[in-house]
Amino acid sequence: MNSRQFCTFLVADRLYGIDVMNVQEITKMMAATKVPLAPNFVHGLINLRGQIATAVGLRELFDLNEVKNNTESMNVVCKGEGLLLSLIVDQIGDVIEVEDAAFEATPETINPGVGRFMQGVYKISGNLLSIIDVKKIIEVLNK
Amino acid sequence: MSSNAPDQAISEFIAESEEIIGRLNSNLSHLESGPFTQEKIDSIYRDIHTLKGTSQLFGFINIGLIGHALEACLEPVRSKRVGLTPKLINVIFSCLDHVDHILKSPEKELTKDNATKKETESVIANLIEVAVDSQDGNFKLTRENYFPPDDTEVTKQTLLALLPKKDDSNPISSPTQKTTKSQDNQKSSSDLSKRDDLEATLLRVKSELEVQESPASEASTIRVQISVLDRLMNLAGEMVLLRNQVLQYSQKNDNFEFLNIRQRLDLVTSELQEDVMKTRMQPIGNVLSKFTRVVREISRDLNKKIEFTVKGAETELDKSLLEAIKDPLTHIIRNSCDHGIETPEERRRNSKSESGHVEVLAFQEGGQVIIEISDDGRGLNLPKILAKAIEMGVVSPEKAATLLERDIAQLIFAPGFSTAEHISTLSGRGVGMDVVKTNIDKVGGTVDITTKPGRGTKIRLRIPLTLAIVPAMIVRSESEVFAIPQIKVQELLRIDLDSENHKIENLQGQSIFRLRGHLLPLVFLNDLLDLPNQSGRTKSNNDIYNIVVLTTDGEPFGLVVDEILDTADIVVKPLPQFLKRLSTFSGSTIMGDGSVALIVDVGGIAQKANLKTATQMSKNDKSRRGIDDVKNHFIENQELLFFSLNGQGKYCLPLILVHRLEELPFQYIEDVGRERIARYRDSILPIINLNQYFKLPHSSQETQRDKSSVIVVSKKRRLFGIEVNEIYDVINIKSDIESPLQERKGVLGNVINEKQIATVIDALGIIEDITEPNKTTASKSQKALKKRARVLFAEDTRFFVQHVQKILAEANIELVHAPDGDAAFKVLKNASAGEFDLVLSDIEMPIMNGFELAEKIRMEPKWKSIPMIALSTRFREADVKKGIEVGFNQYLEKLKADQLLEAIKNQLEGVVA
Repeated sequence: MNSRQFCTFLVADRLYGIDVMNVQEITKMMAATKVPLAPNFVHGLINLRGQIATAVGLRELFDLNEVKNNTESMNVVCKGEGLLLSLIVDQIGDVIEVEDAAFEATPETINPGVGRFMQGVYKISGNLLSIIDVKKIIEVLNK
Repeated sequence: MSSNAPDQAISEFIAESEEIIGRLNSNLSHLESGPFTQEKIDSIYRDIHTLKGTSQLFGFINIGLIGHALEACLEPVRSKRVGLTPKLINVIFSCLDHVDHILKSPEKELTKDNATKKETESVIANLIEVAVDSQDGNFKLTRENYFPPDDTEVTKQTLLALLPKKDDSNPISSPTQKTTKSQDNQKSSSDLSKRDDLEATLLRVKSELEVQESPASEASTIRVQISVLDRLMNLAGEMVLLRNQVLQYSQKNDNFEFLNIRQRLDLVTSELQEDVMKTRMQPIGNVLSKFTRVVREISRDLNKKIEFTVKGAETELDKSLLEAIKDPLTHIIRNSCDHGIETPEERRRNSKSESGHVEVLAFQEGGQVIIEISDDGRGLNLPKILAKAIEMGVVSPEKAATLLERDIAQLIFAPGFSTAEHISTLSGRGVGMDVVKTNIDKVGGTVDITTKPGRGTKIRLRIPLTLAIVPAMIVRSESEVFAIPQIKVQELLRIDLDSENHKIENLQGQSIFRLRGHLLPLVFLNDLLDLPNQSGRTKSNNDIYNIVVLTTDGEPFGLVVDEILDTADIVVKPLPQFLKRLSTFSGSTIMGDGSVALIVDVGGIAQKANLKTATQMSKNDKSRRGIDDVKNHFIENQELLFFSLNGQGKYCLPLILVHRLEELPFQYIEDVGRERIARYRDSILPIINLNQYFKLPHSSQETQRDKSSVIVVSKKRRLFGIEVNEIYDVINIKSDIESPLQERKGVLGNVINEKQIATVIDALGIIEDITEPNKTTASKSQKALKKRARVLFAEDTRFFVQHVQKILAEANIELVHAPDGDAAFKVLKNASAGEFDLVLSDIEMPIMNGFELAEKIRMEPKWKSIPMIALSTRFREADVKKGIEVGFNQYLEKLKADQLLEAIKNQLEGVVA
């Protein structure tokens, strides 16, 4: 039975995951240089030891307007299409391993604001894990 | 083996070819095991094309032959006429093995070793046999077609003789090996038959080894993976940041030993960073120099005379980019030589010099490296390209009708495009330009082509400097720090608004600063970027302005920032595409303190601030017209101030004449006798009401206002006010001022904007008419010269050209215009002595100013005594003195028609009138 590992995190109390192979590192919030005129989900550019990553707030990207609770945000730094994307999430969870059998395609009814970035859903005990596809994020951004 | 330059080139070629072979092998295996994709086969085809081309240049004839045969066999596959059979793949593999084999022992190939040649022939024969077999009946190529047409008859016949007959039912895969083996056997047996021979061979091998070893020990380069360099570069960057932290920490510390260590760390880190940077940067000459040889060999093969020059070889470019542009450059240069440059006979017929000229020019512009490859050949045959493109289905006939010349030229970049009637070994398969486009696109660059029938073609590559180091100006606006590429910075201004002379004026909502008589539009960076106001200051009480004067396509504008911090060499880091699209930033960089700063895209800013539209239009227009115009810095558009008078229609006058714009309350304006005057800055300003001057009737629509719009114009150091109804705006117009159909007093002509026609007012003429009503008409006839004269006029501002042209035309003088000093000098250099009677020159001009021009003219024997008159707005004593020193006979102020005519008359007719 094949399985995959995902780095999980919470955005607005919902559980999301990104394939660990796509995650370079997790960091605390760092000083970001604002990019004037950029869309609101672009928090800015951060210097990641000499490489520049674009910080993108998932709350804003997913269009979740709920007020953020007061836990400190974290950066999930992902690599894709030759650029570094630092996804800002509310809280970091565990790296979990799920089996392919638990996979379901993204339900049609899901809010397209989030759905367009999703690969699918894993049913895990007591929760659903939405899988975020970094490539899709970059694709949508570049469109 | 004393000169190692060619050896180096050859070893580079071998390394490169090995790379290509590796790529070919992997692509072929993909095709063998996986699905057939057009992309893969295209890539294979291009690689083979490159291999063929380079190997021929370096004298690896056999590889060239194999390449040509492979290309011919793959052509039907690529165009989907024939499938790629496993058999064919196998035989291609064996061809590649053979090429690899040749590359392993290059000295054999270069000494034209007969055995290698034989082997090659059999490999090719084998390949062709399989290829011919694998095609079905509808394919028309025969065995003979596979050979290069310009191949020598002898080789062709040998090859043909080697081919098994069509009815020969031998299995196909084995003959290669058989032949090879048997030849090897023969060779070895004959070689080694005698013991003496063996010893001799050993000695020879030994000496050969020694020879090979010596350059190896001299060689001071090794090939390193780019990824390793990338990593090194990033580590060095981190090191710098650490160093900075240590430096900061050390300020709180007075431990002497620690401070010492800190200092050394500082030094070493700086050096390390510098050197690591260097590892990636290479002068473009490294690639370009090889083309000297390429062109020489091509010209020999084609029986053409071609001169090849390289300018800007020292321009540095990131190594990976350099690699990426190598193939495109090869193809472009080869195309220029093959298709562009004509044969000596043809050139002579077209009265061109016998030898053609191909020039490569490289330079940095902003965040980009520009490489221009120009030839003076026959240019592109646009109708033919269009016809071919329609035939090939690249464009539909309907769309073709709408294409501009420039778009047609771009069609040559379509995959597989070629118009050459015959396929030569050099080019003509139409694979070249395809490679150019794909490779340049891949690195984010652009390819542009301009052509002029009979005059030549210019291809312009713009390559971004993804990793290049760019000197930049660091500025602050509000709390944000930005970098501006220094190359775009013309000057820095610090304006104290308290002082009398400096004032920011407002023209239809656009802030304008008057910079040495020219109006400089201002762009406020914080407003443009919508930066949150953190300093708490407002624009009005901000009494000091820091202005960075920037150029975009020659058009300056002022960028207002809060503070100018520093200059620094920055490393450009690319932005993700969705941020680049904002078009206000071209990249980002890491500052010394580890923070990230954005690099301002000057062109984008100008566009955002709407400064560009008209200029841009004329630029596009320009590039359509051909290569010569690119060098022409003549400012094509002119700025006109638009206003209204009574009745319909718009009026305008050249902005260059405008001193100020004022709104004067009515009580300031009085009618005194027949004159109308205004109190203005403690003095009296004569007012000319244009409605009255043109006798325009009052219309009922005119709203009553309590202020009067006055355009202040200066003439002969006196100010005059021109009263109009309403001042609209300054508009860039690219068209000429057209002479009016009917000569009308006070009117210069008409200009056509996109939609409307406006009347251009002859402000100076009107002033003259009012102040000295009798003078102008009376003096004209006296001023005319007795003999028609020819005058060369160097001047960059179109308005003055037209102005002077008008004056001189009445005086029987023919004016030849040059847009700058350099152009003027070239005109003179090419003209025969006596062709011009006088030189008239502006002082401030782009490229070469008037002083330099005068100096150069005086050095030229045939022109050293031609009368020269300087014409300038720069009329200080020192300027006049310098003007006379460098060789001007007279130095005059601009816009003084009478003085000018008098001076010309004096110079030409030698008598004071």
